[in-house]
Amino acid sequence: MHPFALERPRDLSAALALGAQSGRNDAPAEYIAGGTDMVQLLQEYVRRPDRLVSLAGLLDDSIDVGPQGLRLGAAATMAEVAAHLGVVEQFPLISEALLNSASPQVRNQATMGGNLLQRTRCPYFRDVAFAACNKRIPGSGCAALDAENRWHAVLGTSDNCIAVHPSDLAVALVALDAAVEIRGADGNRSVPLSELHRLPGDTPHLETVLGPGEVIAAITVPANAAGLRSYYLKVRDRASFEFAVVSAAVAIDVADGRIRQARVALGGVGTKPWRVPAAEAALSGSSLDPAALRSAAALAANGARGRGRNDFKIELMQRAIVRAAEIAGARA
Amino acid sequence: MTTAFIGQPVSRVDGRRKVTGGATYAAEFVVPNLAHAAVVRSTIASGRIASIDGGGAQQAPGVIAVVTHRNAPPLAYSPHKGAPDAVTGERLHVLQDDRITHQGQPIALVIADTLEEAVHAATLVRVTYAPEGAITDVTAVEPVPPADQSSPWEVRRGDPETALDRRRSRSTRAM
Amino acid sequence: MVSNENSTGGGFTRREVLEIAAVGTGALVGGPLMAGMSPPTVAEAAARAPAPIDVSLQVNGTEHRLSLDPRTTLLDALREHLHLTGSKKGCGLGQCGACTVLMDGMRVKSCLSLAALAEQREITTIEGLTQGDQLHPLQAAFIERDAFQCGYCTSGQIMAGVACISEGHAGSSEEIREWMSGNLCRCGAYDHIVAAIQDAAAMSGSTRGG
Repeated sequence: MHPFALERPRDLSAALALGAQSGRNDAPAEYIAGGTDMVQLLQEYVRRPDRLVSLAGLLDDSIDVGPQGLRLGAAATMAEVAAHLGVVEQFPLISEALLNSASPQVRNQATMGGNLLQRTRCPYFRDVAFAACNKRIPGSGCAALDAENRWHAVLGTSDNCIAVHPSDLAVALVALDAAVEIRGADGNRSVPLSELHRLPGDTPHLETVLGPGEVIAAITVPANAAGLRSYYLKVRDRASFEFAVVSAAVAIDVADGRIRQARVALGGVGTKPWRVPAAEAALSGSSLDPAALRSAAALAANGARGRGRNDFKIELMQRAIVRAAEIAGARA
Repeated sequence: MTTAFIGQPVSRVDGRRKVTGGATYAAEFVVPNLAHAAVVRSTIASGRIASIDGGGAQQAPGVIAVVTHRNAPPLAYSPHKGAPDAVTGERLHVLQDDRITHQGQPIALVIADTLEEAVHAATLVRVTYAPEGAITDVTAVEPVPPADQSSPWEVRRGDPETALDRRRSRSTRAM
Repeated sequence: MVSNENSTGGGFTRREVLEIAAVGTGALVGGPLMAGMSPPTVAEAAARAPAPIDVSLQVNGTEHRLSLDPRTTLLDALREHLHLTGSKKGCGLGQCGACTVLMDGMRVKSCLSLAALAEQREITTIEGLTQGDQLHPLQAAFIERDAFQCGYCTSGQIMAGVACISEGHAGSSEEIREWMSGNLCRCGAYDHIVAAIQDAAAMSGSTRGG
């Protein structure tokens, strides 16, 4: 790892002040929480901060389920949230997405905030031997465009970057209309999760709307997302401990065989967690008839663009939506 | 020879050591004055090292030595055949010349007092390459005949085809 | 495995390197340069070595005071500095699980933890499982069920298995396989590992799972 000074501040404002000391991306100061992504990035020299600021013990780790909805402290671990009875009963989509992620050991260490901010698994991003990576080196090009891009995105891409956002949790949360509370040296603000991550566009190195030194303090999910029939379907090359090739989060409110409202989001295919409002609108009022599900799912493909080795994802993601909706619909 | 253990479910003699963390593997012997080495690996798949400069690494804290093909001792490999031998293959000649035969090939060794110092100093080794096109499709290369044509690479004893045919027809009858 | 950043010598700018690289076969290429960063000078390299920090680790019931490079992972602190080599480095990237230890009773990957951030946690390694001469039931089960060959993944499997049982995830064979998915075995002893965990779970009476 690049040499760094390790800061272990006593309180959050001290940490935020340290974190804010420079610009973001290639910032001399980076945060570390659970460390399950950051330590890898440091080992592989993808991140080379001069200072590492530990957030251990500084952020809220509580999990609250109540009439106001769900509130997850950013420091709550994946394991804690996945096992929390209130989450399992009221927001099972979140628990399911988490249990489909990583491994038990990683889930014990990894935090909610860190999971949303984890970096892409794109092998060209993760291996600094590849010179062409606009995310690491703005303007250097994108090595994945005409190479091994089977794992890469078909939605939200630009010719500068086609990297997939890898989080399952984020897909489930975005389907449920989550918001994030952000804290910085200059104050607090709240942002819908759907707006936290940026599309790559011309600036793939800018992944989120977080300003210098800002941290995610909490994640909230509104009460109207509670108690929906849902399913998180993850299609991947191994049965466990593997990132998604394609995933679909579907949550529906069904009455008398009709879908009253639907939430649909996709993983493994977008440069950010990908909600599909067009499919949601088409499902609203629809039956659970496979043909109806299929024609709603087809709307997810609008604007999709394969890059050579990932073209199959465009069809697969539609089928994933249908299958997830069928399974969700069958749940009591 | 005793046959008392054949067919018996005998526990592995190294079992206790392995399940208690007591078995020592290669990198686990505590030796006084132990140094640590980190390997610098090629980032191209085929070609040559145009230049390699270990000066920055050499000056880094804790570094004892930086070994490259420029200063490595010649090792007692068999004479270079110039082309891989289909029968015996070709051993990788480590740190002996400027040739790169695969991505990740070791091209320098940085030796330091601690693991962290060695690993970090390895990143200070500066390399430029003259890359050549790498072939990764086995069907795109001609098969290589063995260099030594005098010694056969197929050895026959008896008449296996006839024997297998007889065996096959016997088992077919039995079915 | 070290992934190194090779930069050009002789003061090429990034633009020059990329242009040279575009010419094709036989061209000189250097490795990637980070935007806005020139290769460190010798003096900078020496000056930027991080000062060691004092780290106090509670391992298997004993407190150890170490002076460590802040970059030291918990795994390297255990293996290289405390000479507790029972925890293994199979991949160093959090994918194989051979480095699994318990922190406050929870299984974690020590190769993904910085030692300096593991203070005030009770760390248990494979060496801490035996009580004197007495093997932990799961250790005994591994021997009984021949749940290893080379043994390199075994420490991590056992630590993860102990946690898997105490978490209540050691019911069916399918459940064990899913909840042990963070531990790889290149020798393929999985069937026997599952059997050993089932045996130990039955002994401790905690087979009920989620």
